[in-house]
Amino acid sequence: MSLPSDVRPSVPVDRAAVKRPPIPVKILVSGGFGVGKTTTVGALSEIEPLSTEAAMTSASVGVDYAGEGSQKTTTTVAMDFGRVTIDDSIILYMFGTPGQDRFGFMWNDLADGALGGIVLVDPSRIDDCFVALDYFEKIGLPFVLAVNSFAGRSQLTLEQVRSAANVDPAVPVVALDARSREDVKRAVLTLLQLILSRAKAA
Amino acid sequence: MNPDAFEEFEEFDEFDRPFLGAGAPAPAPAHAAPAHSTAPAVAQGEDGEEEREEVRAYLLTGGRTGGGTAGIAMETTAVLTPQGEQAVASGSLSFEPGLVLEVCAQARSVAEVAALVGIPLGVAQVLVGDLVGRELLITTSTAKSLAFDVSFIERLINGVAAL
Repeated sequence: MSLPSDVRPSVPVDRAAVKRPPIPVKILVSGGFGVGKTTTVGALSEIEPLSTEAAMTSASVGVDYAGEGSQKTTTTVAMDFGRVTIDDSIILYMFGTPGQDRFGFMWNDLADGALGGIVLVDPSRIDDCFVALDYFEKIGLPFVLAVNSFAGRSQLTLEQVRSAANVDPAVPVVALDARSREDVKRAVLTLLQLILSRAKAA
Repeated sequence: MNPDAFEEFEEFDEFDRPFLGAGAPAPAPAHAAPAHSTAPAVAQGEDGEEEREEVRAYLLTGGRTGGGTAGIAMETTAVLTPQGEQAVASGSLSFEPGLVLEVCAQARSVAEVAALVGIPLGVAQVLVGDLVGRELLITTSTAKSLAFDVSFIERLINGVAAL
């Protein structure tokens, strides 16, 4: 289905006097339920995040546990995404991807063509991100582990989170506040640096 | 069986089969549908809205799913060609294909098209693929090799750092 070239013109070259749209770059934002994926996407997006989101009902009580003290009453059951225009010819899309096992059937479509991922971790529920970690490791997608510190509520250091999540030493672990544009930007830059070093090594 | 469990089951059923369900409540189209002179069945206003809800997704795509053969992914960007601009100006396309063209007046990903028009992602992929085939849209997709293109990644880093 995919052709070898980087960017596939959709019309034959002899008619391609037409201006092509910018190159899309896709980054996934994954993690457990209620960990702040949508907030993270929204923090950097130039548009209000768009979604095919359907509100979860009380039916999910006990299925999707948003943790002690969470006021969360809806969750993303499809996907939501934000957009960041990099320049005339590159648009970055951040796709929030549902982190639960039962949405696994969507992941191949989401991951196909993705440059990398940010796995969000709630330090009080570290195991919630394991499904996402397993998946990213399995398909070899570069990712950073971003600890959503929930405004300092976390008692764990980044190293403790790293060892609890048992990720490869090469995986960067960063702290962020999902609401902070600067924090999210830094996490994205950390991911891009990781991708860059991998590209240089190749 | 408690009723809550049943509700939950229904929800997943709908989600598992987005092309067959009556559709999750579509997000309100970003802009009101402009005049479609050739679209009497989808009348303007509330009646029209209700009627559209009843159009099954598989009717919009002729039963096809996915963007497969055309390589149309969710992040693939699309924009009008000059022919596409003419088609929008003359209002020659109606219903969903017409709406897809209209939102592509500026470059958009297929996922944005789906969200803005209020159609499932799979339907947007098929419709964009069709419009590319008719040379009304032109698209750009990414490929895995971009991840190993050092100058491209550096451009990306500089762009994000400058945000």
